[in-house]
Amino acid sequence: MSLKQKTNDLLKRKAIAEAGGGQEANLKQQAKGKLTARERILALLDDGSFQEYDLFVQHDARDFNMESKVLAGDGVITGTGTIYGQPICIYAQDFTVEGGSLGFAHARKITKIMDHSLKMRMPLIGINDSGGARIQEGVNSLAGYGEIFFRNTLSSGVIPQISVILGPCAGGAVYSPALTDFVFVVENISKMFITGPEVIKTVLGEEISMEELGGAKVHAEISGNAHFYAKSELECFEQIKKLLTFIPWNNGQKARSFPPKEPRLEFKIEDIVPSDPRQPYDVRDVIRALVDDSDFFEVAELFAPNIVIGFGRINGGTVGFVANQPLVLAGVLDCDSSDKAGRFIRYCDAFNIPIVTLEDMPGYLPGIDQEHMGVIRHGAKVLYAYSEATVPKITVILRKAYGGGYIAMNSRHLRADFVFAWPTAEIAVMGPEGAANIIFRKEIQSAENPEEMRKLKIKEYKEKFANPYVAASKGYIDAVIEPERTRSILLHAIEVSTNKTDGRPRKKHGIPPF
Amino acid sequence: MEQEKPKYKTFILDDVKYKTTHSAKFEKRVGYERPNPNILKSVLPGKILKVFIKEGDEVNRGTRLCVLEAMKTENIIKSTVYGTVKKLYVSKNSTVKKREILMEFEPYPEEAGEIE
Repeated sequence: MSLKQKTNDLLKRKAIAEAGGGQEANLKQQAKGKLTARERILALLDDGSFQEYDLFVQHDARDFNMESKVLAGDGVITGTGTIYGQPICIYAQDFTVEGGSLGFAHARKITKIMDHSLKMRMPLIGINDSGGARIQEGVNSLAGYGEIFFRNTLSSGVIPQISVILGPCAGGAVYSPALTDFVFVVENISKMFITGPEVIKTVLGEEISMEELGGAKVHAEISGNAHFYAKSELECFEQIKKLLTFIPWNNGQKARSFPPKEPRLEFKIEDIVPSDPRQPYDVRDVIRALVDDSDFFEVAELFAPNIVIGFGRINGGTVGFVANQPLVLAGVLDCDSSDKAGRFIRYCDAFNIPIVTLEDMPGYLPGIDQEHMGVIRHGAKVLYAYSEATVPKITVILRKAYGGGYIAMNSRHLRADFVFAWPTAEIAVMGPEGAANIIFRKEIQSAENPEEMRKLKIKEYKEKFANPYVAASKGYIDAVIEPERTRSILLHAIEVSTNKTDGRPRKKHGIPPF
Repeated sequence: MEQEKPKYKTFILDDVKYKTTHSAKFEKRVGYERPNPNILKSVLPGKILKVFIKEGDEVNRGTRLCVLEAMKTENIIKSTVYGTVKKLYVSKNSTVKKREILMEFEPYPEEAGEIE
């Protein structure tokens, strides 16, 4: 054969393998509103940047007539490419080939690209669309999952790992996404659960639909397993690309910086926050008033909305925001919001992203359910994460900073680098009403008019303690600032923290309250 | 874009009344129920294979009450109460849901000695 003939033969072989499960299976995939694995990769990566590997990999299973089955690429596409010109590793399970089921060769393709991404210190994106373990391959398929989970853990905190759930992801398969940094789901397409509705029905007699059990909304809003929720696959890809502009390529780098931009004018800090600490506002408006171009990229928007986390830029550099949200549950800390914040703080710390904390919270959520769910252990995650973090840590106390919440929200005592407070800040053990009721109980009870006395004492307490000046007099707050200067002060604080060097005792690892 | 106006609720913490909204999950939370030892509920959904007692029977702590098949296992349910069976809600072959009441007891007063 001539070179040309051999090349033509290659092209023929490629075309067969690239066709995946064939036209009929592709049409089925389309009918479910889903793109094919290859379409997904091409839609996500820069045009013409995708280079595939292991296209000709075949399984060598021998049982249950598997020897006669030829599976294109063994049901997964792997390769490298670029997003906005930056290199990434990617794999996408191909549901059109044997339901995207994971066999040994399939898993080995994934672990090969995972090893590559870790060695080359670049992000890994995994697109999950699989019926689960390839049962015909038995324990070999379980081994495959285990090898993936191990590598997810190995890469954790070294390279960004992104999981995209674009189909079923059930049983053991869910643990790879759970071990990665960010999980993306799409309405009506993503399904995640450990045991599906069928099993639940036969074993427990409880009936539930797949969507109600483990649909996209459930994981984005209730379980917190997913961090980004989109209405379509294309919207999901835009979210992934945007996220990648905010994070560094590995833990040895800083996020790329962009040309600085002023916030858009329609956000005026002074008009957003009511001075009465009992009145609500949307803290995301405050963040938008602080960040470049008012562009705030929120993470886990639907889960535990009483705390807001996400990325923005200040003077072109990425900053991670953690902010209490007075709009929901008055911004209390509870099991879910502690979990959400704690994890995000650790993410920022692992990837050299300075953390700005905006504090306005009345304390922890009271409740039997909270106590029984372990709010002690979950709340401790926030303390642990802030104390452990050595990236620049800046706090701005907007209004309430009461009790344990004051300590937890990156206080000076947890080694914040800078703590600023607005003149509306109230740093105290609890709200004035509660405090006055306890401290002046006797005076109130013995007064001729207890209600009058209560009001008087609350007023007295408010005047004396519901301000930032007591804490400032002890040096717990570095400066009381005019609200409209917040952005320029943050800019300054981040600038002077550029060369921050801070260490912790050497250890194998700590024991965080998981 | 016209945004829907949030439905504000009052939320009291340490005697302070905050104007705020509830999260979807907070709205769906299930209230705490104090356990009542005199009411026997199924901890799992399943099927009653056998009932050993009838209404009015005297039971001791440890008396076998029924067999519940759940999670592919036959579980022998024993009494934690010393008293009598006040009401029986299930019979052989009943299918029961999680937290469904199986039977109620009338306990003997604390000071009564246990039967042998």
